Amino acid sequence: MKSPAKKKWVDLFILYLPMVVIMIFILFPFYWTLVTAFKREADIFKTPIQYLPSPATLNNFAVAWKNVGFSIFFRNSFIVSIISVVIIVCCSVLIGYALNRFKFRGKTAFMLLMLSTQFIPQAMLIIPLFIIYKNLNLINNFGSLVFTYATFQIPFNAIVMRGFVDNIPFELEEAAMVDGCGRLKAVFYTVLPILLPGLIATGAFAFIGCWNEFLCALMFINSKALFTIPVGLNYMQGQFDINYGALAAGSIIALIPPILIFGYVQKYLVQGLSAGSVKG
Amino acid sequence: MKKLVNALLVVMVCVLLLSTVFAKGADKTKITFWDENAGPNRTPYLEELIKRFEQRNPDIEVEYVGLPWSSAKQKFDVAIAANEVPDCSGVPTQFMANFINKNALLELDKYFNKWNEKTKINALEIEANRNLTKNKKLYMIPNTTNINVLWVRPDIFASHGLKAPQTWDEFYQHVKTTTDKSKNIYGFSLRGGSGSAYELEILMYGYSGITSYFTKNGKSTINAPKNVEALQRFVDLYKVYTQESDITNGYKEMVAAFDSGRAAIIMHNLGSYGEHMKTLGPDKFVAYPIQKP
Repeated sequence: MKSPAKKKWVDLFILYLPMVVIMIFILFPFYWTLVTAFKREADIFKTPIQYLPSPATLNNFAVAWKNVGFSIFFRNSFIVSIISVVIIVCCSVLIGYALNRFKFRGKTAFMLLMLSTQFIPQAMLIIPLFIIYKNLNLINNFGSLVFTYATFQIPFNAIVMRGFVDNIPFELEEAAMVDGCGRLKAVFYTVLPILLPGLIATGAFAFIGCWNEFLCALMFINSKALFTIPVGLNYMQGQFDINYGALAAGSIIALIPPILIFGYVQKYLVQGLSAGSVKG
Repeated sequence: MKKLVNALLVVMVCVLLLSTVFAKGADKTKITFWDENAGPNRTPYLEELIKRFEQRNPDIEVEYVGLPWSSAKQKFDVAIAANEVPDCSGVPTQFMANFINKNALLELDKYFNKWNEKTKINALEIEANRNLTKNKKLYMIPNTTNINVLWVRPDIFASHGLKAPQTWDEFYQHVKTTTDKSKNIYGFSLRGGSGSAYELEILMYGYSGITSYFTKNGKSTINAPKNVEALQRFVDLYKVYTQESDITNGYKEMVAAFDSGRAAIIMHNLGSYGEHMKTLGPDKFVAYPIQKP
């Protein structure tokens, strides 16, 4: 049994010190982006390097929000992401439940098919999808983005949901059905509340995926009023100049919703992730 | 319950079908214009020009779409492959050969010849544009041109008493003289990363003075002895008179090295003038023409 003092030293070297080092390593880019966003354009490249902006300015945020149009991009990203996430979560839950609880012919084949779609690189599908959406008159329309994101994200999330549902004993629904619920009601009242951490974890990851997606947003949208944030950030890199301050400010703006969402769902995330992986 | 679900399904299908119906009523002709380098610096000018154009031509409506430069080529490629291209667009010369081969560009000769203001564009530029194509036809109307220069920090040059290099030998000598590793100043910052091929090509042909990419027999001139010598001398600068990290330098890093005083000379076109002006101010940088072969 180690003495308390010795345990403290051991903890310090094995636990806290590595943690601090890794945290500095991970957090430094964020810190640098934050600092650059508040610096004046001329100060960004001055040597010696300024680790804190002096004077600090909010001009970059104003430029990014108004001139470049980040207010529009922000709204668009939000709309597309929220709608996509709702569809993804609803479909994933239903598919995951069905895959776990029901026995039907071709179930394994269906699952394998779903997983194998994940191997196709997205870039390869851009041109065929473009032609399809053009024929459906969905180019320059949020519908194209929502369909694409939902299609790409549902298979994986459905498999993950299947794992979550596996953890919930069937006896709960049985008991509810004995008490007079139909299947849908039984699921709604017994399974869904227990599934909540999994739902939130899935929803959060789906949101991040949709929020950060760049290629489809660039290719399927043809007007500035409908571009999303990743495309907006790309605007800052001109052919002959790069507006670093506005780029950093735009990145910070783009970071806020994911950070807020993850801050809120943190406790569900760990629960949800581990519940989906461990069986039995 | 089943009836409700069925009814919902029917409504959903109807809604989906309806959403594909598009009502387009147009008295005006609508054309789309894609800008390949949109951003806060260029878009306001183009939008003003479009406004004036629409005032002079009230039956034409122009839809302006600004593309971010770093992904503009990809977007063009997808649009051409899917046959959903804009009516007109800003296209940098380096894409032109690619688009001509894909049959994406309209020959402009007959329109240009009928244009009553055609003498207002520099005839040499039009000629240069024609010479870039196989069949000497006009596929683009140039609106800006750019030349490569040497951007130099006059303060570093002055501290060594140097003047503008007149020959390539002088250039390499200046790079050597201005390198002072103890002060973290290097004579040159080369662009080893994205965009480097253009710079190298300009450098090679500028050094050798060869004026054609192909000999009369159709062989490429890129391995001509003078070109190879140009490249070798340039490459020999790396790590000796330039920073080791230059090998991955793109445009941003090269300009950053120059603006922060770590490099005395960079070779780039006039496009970075804005960056230098913003960061350094008018006295701390100067452009010299590139040496003759």
